[in-house]
Amino acid sequence: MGSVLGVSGESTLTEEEAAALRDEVVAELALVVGDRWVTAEPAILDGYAWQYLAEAATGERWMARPLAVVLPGCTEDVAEIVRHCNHKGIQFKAVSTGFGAWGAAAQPDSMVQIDLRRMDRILEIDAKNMYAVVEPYVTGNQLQTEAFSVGLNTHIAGVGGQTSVLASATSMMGQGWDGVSMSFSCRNLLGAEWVTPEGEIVRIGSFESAGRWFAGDGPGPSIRGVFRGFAGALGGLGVFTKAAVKLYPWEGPEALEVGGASPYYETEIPEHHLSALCIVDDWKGMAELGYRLGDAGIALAVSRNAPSVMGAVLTADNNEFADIYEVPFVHELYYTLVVIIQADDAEEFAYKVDVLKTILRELDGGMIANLPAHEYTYWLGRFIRTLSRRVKAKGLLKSAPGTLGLFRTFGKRYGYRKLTSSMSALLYEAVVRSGLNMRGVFRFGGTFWTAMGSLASWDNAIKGARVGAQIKKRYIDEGKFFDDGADNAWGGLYENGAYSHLEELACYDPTDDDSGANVIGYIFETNLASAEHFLSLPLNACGPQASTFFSPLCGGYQNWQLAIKNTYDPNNASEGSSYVIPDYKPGRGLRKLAGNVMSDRAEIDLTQDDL
Amino acid sequence: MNTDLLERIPGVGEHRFDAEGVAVVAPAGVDELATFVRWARAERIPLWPRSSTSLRRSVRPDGPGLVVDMSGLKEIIRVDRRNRVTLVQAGVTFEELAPALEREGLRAVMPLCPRRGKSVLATHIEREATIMPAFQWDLSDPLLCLELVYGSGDQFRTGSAAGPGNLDQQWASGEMQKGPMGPGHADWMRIVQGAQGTIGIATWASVKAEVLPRIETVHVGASDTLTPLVECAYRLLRKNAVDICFIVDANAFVDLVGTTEGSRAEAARRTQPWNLVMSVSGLDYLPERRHAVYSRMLRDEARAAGVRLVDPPLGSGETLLALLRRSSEEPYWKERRRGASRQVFFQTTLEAAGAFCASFAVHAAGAGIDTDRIGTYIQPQLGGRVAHVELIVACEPGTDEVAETGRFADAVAVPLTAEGAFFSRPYGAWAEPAFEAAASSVDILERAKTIFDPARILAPGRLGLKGNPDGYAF
Ligand SMILES: Cc1cc2nc3c(=O)[nH]c(=O)nc-3n(C[C@H](O)[C@H](O)[C@H](O)COP(=O)(O)OP(=O)(O)OC[C@H]3O[C@@H](n4cnc5c(N)ncnc54)[C@H](O)[C@@H]3O)c2cc1C
Ligand SMILES: Cc1cc2nc3c(=O)[nH]c(=O)nc-3n(C[C@H](O)[C@H](O)[C@H](O)COP(=O)(O)OP(=O)(O)OC[C@H]3O[C@@H](n4cnc5c(N)ncnc54)[C@H](O)[C@@H]3O)c2cc1C
Repeated sequence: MGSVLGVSGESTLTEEEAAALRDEVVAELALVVGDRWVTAEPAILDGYAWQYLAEAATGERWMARPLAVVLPGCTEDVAEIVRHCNHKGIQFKAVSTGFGAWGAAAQPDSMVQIDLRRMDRILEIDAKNMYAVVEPYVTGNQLQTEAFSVGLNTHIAGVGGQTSVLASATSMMGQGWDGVSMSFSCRNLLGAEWVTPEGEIVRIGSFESAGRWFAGDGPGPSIRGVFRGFAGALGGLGVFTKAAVKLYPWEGPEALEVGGASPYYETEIPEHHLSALCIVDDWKGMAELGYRLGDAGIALAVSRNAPSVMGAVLTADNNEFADIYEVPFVHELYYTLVVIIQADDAEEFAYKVDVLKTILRELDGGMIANLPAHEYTYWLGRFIRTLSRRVKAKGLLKSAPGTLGLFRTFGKRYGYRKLTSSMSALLYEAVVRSGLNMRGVFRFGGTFWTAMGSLASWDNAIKGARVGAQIKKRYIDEGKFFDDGADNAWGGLYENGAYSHLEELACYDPTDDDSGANVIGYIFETNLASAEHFLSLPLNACGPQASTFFSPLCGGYQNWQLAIKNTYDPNNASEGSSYVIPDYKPGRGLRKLAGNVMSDRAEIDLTQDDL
Repeated sequence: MNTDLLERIPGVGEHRFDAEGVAVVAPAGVDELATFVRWARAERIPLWPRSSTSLRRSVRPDGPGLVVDMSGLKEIIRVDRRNRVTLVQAGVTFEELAPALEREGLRAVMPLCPRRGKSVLATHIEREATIMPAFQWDLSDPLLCLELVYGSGDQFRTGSAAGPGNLDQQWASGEMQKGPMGPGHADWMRIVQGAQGTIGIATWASVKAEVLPRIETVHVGASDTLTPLVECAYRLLRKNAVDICFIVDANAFVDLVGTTEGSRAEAARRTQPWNLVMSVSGLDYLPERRHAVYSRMLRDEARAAGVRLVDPPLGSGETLLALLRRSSEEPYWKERRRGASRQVFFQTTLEAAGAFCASFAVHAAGAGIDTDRIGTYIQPQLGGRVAHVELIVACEPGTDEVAETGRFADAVAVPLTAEGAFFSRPYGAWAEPAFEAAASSVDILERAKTIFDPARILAPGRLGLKGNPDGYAF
């Protein structure tokens, strides 16, 4: 089956031909990197084919095996490998930390996988000018740890702190919890070293001229625009070997105190930092809260997390989750934003916190936050009052035993002294370190995918979240997705609210044979709705299939993408199954699936109150 | 000039010759522009887009062809306070936009006192430095989305403006053309930006605007040397304490504030060798508290860096703030010293700016230009990570000084580039050293040019990009 993520297919070689080619490629690439760093061992190749979201790309649990895997040690190695592939007429694709089907082979025996894990150095942190230069295998948390020690911080994509900074900035996407203060991955790029699809080494931005990486654009037009848009080229336009990224002020200690043992982490919230779960009445209140927080410019992070995700982050396993998710107080926590504040000193901190309080008062909201005891109680009271307007007296009564149970669990786990701050601390850990995401999405069904999520105005993003939830509800009702309450929109603000995003997460079981078709149906249906409701381009508007669908609605951008691909990769050497395929035509499978979806769609009613 | 050719131009309502005999066409909208560009492509006629109104040398075509004058497109299509954005046609100037935004509770993101007639779109499509580094998240800011016609004659909208839906449909859905990236896997806006008109011609742009503060005060930190001011700027930008933030030497400060001979003399007496101009604001929520917190930080950091807080050389803080929120009075401030000037500007980091200024002075002395003719303006960008360094060399119109200054300004890019200055906006002769130093980019740009302007009709020769191998119709 064709997919929205990529295109998969059969090998064009016989088994004998493939084996011969593999041997040849391994022998030749060994001359570039040495025997130790290239292999075609089936067990190792399978390691690269076992990928998150493979079921959506191939309809099975596996991606295709590459011809061989090669581990270059430096940029020149990469360039030589790329030139070699061009010369031989085979494809290649790079991975950095390798966190999904996009990096893997779509077709068996078609490409060389370039695994960049040996290039793992932070080359420079310029503390004064607030930027870092990293190689592909440097992770978000690795860079953040070093940056903290010089009073700086880095944007980490929502996938989590264990993935590559460079891959997100140059090649993937970049939504994250901290966008309000640390932007979106590609907007932080201050230049890159790029091995083009033909194997030329290009240094983008000030570095080549000035020997320093402070600016990524020019001379003249910005080459950043060629290889990176809302999404990057997902491996389809060469290999990035260095990236310079902006760092941002960190008003915290040189290292965060993290205690406990997995999965019971205990993070100490530093002085002059606030971790608040803010609540308002409804989506209208959420819109206001977002706009006002954006205008005020006080937040380090502003993130919307639906109750199911929050429940997962706060608990250690699915049983514990199931217990607390029953509690209306938890289950109904829909209209909340996690707001993290940092400040330089007590006076600035007090000012920022008071702004947050002022905004929440205006919106008749409340918060649970690491405030001094009397304030904590007051704002918790307001929180409960706001929530009670949703759950009513009955929900309030029903919540009492579960809430007490939750307090007991947390009290035992983190100590009763820390009862009031432990939840804030967990949310703080999740947001600031981007450290607890996996429990939020993988634990329920085994995997997840996501939809909607354009970068747009906050009002528009909220509308997208509402549309997305209504579509998803049908999939839940039909047993295709885990019941997370339908509204599981995750996202937040970027650049103090200049733009924003909310994506509709969907958790499901990838061992279910139909899961691939289900999730692609969901992607297709949400893409369709994005177009119909003018919700800007969703995050699934990537790759040949989605571009083919959206391009006519958006000025024919696919033609320009094709022109870029053909111009810079005339041999089609850089495997672009998630980017641009020169002669792409939607396959029959996809057309059939689209037909099915179109004939039986969820009705969207935006006049009703949600939920 | 070939008047027959002008008669054959299709679909463009108006064409004329300007005061200097340059043939000018003024398309009334995007459809007309597209028809016209397709015609020019077929006929191989060079086109020179411009949007500002001024007869400065720089806005005239560098070669034969037709000027595409977008300055008549004057509509401010939308001002949206809630989403802090405006949508402006190419000819809207800062003197038009700034008050229009203020009426809605917003302030424009502006260069330092732009000259009258300066197009907002042309300013931002050229990545000109703006005076509020705290609000600049990417060097492309505040530019968001563009409507444009490529050199191929194809129309396109970039970013979230691309669709789905037209502007009305997007507005009705709450989307205000705020997503700068894409659509898809490339950043089309970024490829046009900085291109000096060589890739496409834009008809409108959506541009970020910022909240108009309830309170804003301007402060001048003074010092005999540059270093303490640079230190102070680093610290305050890192704390996000200041909105406006730039550095000027005495000459540039006098030029900026003094319009008459008398006022200039007074300013010259009172101004200090180096000045860090900053503003502190109070926004919608707890404005006094915000203002007090960051004013205190400003005082503390100034003291720690050894910077004296002084009065502006002329008028009050309020008058200086009013000046910084508007276009320059006539004459344009960069031309007040001797009637004309050439500016040499490049990027580096703040702490390296001083060495470049010193080196520039040495090069200038070598060309017989004494320091009295040079004004220095250093603009932190991107939250303080980048410094736009601009050296303004005054010259007297009608004298040899103009040509000499021009030759010097053209030539000095060579040694400065060798010293590590980054000419990210390489105009005219600067393109050569700039691209020699960025050699690995040249082929990438040449190929981009071929994609978007296959007949190479847009501003041929700029940025060192090759012309049409078959030549041009004239
Ligand atoms: C739980 C989960 C949550 C996620 N949440 C988010 C999110 O919030 N925001 C977000 O942006 N994404 C998210 N993703 C998607 C994706 O994993 C991320 O975008 C991540 O940044 C990809 O980085 P990686 O290092 O894992 O990439 P890889 O798998 O190494 O690469 C990703 C793509 O980029 C290409 N690539 C990687 N490195 C290079 C290179 N050096 N040169 C050229 N091409 C390269 C690869 O070929 C591949 O197509 C999520 C994924 C998961 C599993
Ligand atoms: C030889 C030369 C010398 C120069 N010397 C100096 C100098 O000393 N000091 C200085 O500050 N600057 C100098 N410049 C740069 C010049 O000032 C810049 O072009 C500046 O941005 C002019 O802006 P403007 O407001 O007059 O805009 P315009 O002339 O209207 O436009 C600025 C640039 O943007 C392009 N453009 C305008 N409108 C559009 C549109 N709608 N769509 C797409 N592109 C468009 C133009 O082609 C031009 O390249 C020089 C330029 C040249 C060519």
